[in-house]
Amino acid sequence: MLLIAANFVLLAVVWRLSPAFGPWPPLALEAAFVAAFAVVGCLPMRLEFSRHQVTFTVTDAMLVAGLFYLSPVGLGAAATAGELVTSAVHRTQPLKSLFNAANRAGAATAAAAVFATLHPGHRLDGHGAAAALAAAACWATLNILAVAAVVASAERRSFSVILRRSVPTAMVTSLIAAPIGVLATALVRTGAGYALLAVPVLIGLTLNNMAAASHRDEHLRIERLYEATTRTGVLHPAVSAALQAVTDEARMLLTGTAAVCCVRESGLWSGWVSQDRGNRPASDLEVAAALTTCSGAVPHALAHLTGEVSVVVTARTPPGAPVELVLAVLRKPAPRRRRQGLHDTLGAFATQASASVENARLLADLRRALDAELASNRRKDEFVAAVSHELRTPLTVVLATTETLLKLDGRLPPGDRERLLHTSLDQAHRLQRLIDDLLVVAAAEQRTLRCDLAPIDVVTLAAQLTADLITAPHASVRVTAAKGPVESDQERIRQIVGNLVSNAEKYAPGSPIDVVVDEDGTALTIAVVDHGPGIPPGDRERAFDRFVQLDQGASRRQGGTGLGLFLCRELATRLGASLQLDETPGGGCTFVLRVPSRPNAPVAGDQAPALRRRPAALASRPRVLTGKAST
Amino acid sequence: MNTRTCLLVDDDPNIRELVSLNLGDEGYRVYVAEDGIGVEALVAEVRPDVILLDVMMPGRDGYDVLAALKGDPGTCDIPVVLLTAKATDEEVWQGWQAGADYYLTKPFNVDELTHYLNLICSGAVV
Repeated sequence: MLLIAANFVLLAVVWRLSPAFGPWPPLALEAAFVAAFAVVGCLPMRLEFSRHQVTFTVTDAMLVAGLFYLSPVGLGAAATAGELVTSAVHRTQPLKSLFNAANRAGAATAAAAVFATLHPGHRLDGHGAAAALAAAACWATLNILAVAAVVASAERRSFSVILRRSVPTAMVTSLIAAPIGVLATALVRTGAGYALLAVPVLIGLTLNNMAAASHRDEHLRIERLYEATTRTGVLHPAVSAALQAVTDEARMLLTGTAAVCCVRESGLWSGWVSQDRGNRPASDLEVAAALTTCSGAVPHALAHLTGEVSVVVTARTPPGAPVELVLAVLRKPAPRRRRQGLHDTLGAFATQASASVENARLLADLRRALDAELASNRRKDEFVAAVSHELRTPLTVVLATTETLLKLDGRLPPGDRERLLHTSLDQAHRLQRLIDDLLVVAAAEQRTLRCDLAPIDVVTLAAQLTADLITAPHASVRVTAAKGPVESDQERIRQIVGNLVSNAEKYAPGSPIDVVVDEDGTALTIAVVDHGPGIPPGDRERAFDRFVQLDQGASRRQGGTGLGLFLCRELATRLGASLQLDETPGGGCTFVLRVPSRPNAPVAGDQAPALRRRPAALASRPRVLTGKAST
Repeated sequence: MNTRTCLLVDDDPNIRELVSLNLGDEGYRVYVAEDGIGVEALVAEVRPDVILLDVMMPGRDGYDVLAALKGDPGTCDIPVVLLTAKATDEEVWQGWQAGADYYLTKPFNVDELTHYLNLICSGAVV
């Protein structure tokens, strides 16, 4: 205010000192000019040149015309009034408006002084026009200098750089303003009626310009919206990455200081925050604040939380969107007419972003499924190779033995002949066991694996296990307790134990293998204990996976298909039993099979009942499931 | 005719016995090794006319033995037959790539094996 007052004092001094200005113009004229400035101050015109945009106001042209008519005081007052109205229309901060008004009044003083010096009197001729142009240039330059100085000191940017960028703009402004002002003056001088014609034309031009600017804004916004959604949808095949991109884009789209995007996945809301200083997941409090703000319950919950001096623009996906999203952008206040546009833009963006996030989720799902499928395929290929190898090895011996016996018959010592026949038989049994195992796995795959329940006498079972393990010289069976009968499938239990023992023989060669049978009245527990190298705790669960062999490579100690433990676990599950792998004290593996004495809660098969009570008449039906059982 | 010698490296005792019986009947002197460890020393000592080598063996696989033999100027000219149950196309190709002179898959025909070795030792197959 002081600055403005000082300007007016200065103007009065200039007026008195300069005889060229002559007497004070009529007060009515001055007042009319001030009023006119106030009106046209709210009609900005934007002009584009090269890649810059110049905001040209009619005020500038009128200021030039005023040089010919007004006292410097009137000129300053008119400039101040115009600037204050412009500031009010643009909702400029009060401090900034006052500075601008003072600045303009000061520049007007200088312009009046330059004009009076160069061209005493108010005559309109070539000399007068040149003086008016020089005064306008001086006015615009001073204006820019003051603004640049303030910007440089407030934002700590280089003064000269700002000047270099803004002086051309100022020059263009004055080059446009001066001729218009001079022309208007000439029109008024030759006949006031013609000059009045120019006013509606100017107003029409300005309004037209404003409409065009508004259309351009809208067009730009749609273009940016399209770009933003295209980018996010294609580039981010993961939900969190897409969410991050959406939040960033929303902030940029509305030129916000911060943005929060919340997404609902399986009923739970989570969010992402985008700010100048970086991105981060939103805290629960921020998610809650964004939702509250968006629902309108507490409109400024988010602004209060973040402490930003800003307004919040929110949007929510319409019902039926692929993914439910809530977007909140904190930004500087916008003119009233733009606010609805911002809400609409963010609303459109939310709908697009929902599709983008859903796309990202689908892509991520697809990629995961594909990876799983590829890994499964690879394991199957390995499995086929392993099965082929496992089948070939005993078959080689069977064939070679038979061929040898046929070829060398009569030349072989009788002992060798006998031994070769036994070798051949053993290998044939090995083949049979392998085929049995494969059938069990196939049945497990097709969910048709069946177990037949019948009462089992624990002592008889132990005797059968001992008989089964006759081919495993290091294995021994021990019964610690046998309190009562168990109802389960004896053949399946024998199959599991047989596999566990042969697994122990493979991985703990030479180690004694203890099979400990215990029935405490509630469950039958069979532990297969070896003292081999054992399996590290991290790999223990994986050992039960299909086709998995922990020791890979051509030099692995054992062949095998990687099916043994998978098969054991499948069978155990079908029996309603559990199969765990523990460490033997002192090193080695202990597999513990725990079969409930009464299968109260049988594990139901997906298609066929897993457990089937065997009819009493068939309870003693002999079943040969493993080669060992018949040896 | 000189006695032909063959070195058989296989971890399966049945295969060792069967191949020894058949090649012995053909007049070969057969040396056997249970695994790939220390095979180079044995080769240097007995200088076999041909080596029958299994691939999947505990401790050291056949590819490793093959690379060591082919990398040594003293043993690289001894023909090596890979005798393995690895029979898929990829596995066979991997065997050739590893430097095998011949590749026989299990199960093998005994007559075919002896005929093959006879050809190799007489220099008919190079």
